[in-house]
Amino acid sequence: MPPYDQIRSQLVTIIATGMLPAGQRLPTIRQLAADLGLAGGTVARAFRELELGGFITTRGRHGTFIAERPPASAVDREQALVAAASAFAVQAAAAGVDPRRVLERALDGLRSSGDATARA
Amino acid sequence: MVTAELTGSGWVIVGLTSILAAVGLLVAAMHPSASSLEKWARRYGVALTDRNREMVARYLRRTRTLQVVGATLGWLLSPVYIGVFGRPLPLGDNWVALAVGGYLVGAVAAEASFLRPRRVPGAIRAATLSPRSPADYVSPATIWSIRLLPLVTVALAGTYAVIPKDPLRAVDPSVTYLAVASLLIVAFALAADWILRAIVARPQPAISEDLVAADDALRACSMHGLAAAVVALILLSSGWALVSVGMVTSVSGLGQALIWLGFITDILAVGAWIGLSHPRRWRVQRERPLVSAR
Repeated sequence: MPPYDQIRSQLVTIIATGMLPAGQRLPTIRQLAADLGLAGGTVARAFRELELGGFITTRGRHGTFIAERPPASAVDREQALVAAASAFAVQAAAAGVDPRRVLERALDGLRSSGDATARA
Repeated sequence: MVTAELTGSGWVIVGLTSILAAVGLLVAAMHPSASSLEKWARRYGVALTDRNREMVARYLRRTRTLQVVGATLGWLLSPVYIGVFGRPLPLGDNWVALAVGGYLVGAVAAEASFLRPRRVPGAIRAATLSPRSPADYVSPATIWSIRLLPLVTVALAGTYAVIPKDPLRAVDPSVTYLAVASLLIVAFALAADWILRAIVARPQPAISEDLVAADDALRACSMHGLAAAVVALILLSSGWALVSVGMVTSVSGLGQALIWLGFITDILAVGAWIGLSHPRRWRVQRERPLVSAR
């Protein structure tokens, strides 16, 4: 997956799961590109596609913000799920944790969230 | 070598300062003690770990050394110049301002030359989704002081041009000199604002949570040192302008009041330098999800 698509899909996940609330300001393209060590155009393309998809809005000099009502269609949810799993795998690999332990923890998390839903 | 223009007491001050500076330099150049590191970490609300401890120690050592060297060279510049050349330093003879200026140069050099942790080639690229701004690292009051205080100097330069002058007193410095100086202060403040933004904009790869937290704290520390020196220099310039206006005016009572105000501003400047560069507590808030790319 090209870098711009990785950024886009992770941001879709983050927005769809509410990790970043609506109206929250995002870093500038320049900052994100510098921190990631990528070209500005790569991040700009990810942001452009997110804006076209209705996930983020650009308010001129004030910056880029999470859209008030990001789309949440089934396709987006599936995409969010795939991206969430991908981001989880990337972060777990970066932390250098044993994959079996990662899976156990993920299953534990799913079970506890399922229990919580059932109780609700 | 011509030394006639510096009095005996002047040389005593130079000698004592040199001894103090040498001691300060020795202390600054040593590896910070564990307790000193912990104290610094508590102040900036960062937890020291095996990974970030050495980076913090390296930063503190380098920054403190260069700041002490800069301040000492600045402090000694005027007397040494007088001693060598037998005439006043063209930059002025305000030793305190020169020391603060030297400290500022040292602080900038330390920040510019400090190498932050870099992403290992081939490793996953990660960054926090938290926008950085100077207000995350220094107080908005400090930032606005840097932006607005130069206007006081400009206003004082304007006042200097139009205020009724005592015909028995020489207009020193000239109106043009003060006007140009006030514009240079504005340019200096703009440059300082740009440097603060540049520090904020330096890349911050999210290698690990503890390294990012330490890096944020180091940026805050650098920016506090720089901002403190900048505010102090602007206040010293304002103090100088106040005294200049007070010295030439013929308005009864106003002259003495402005001269006193100028001295108070100078004291405030030194207080701002010490106080702003060593905040009791400053914590950079940054709790946001990461985004990454291979």
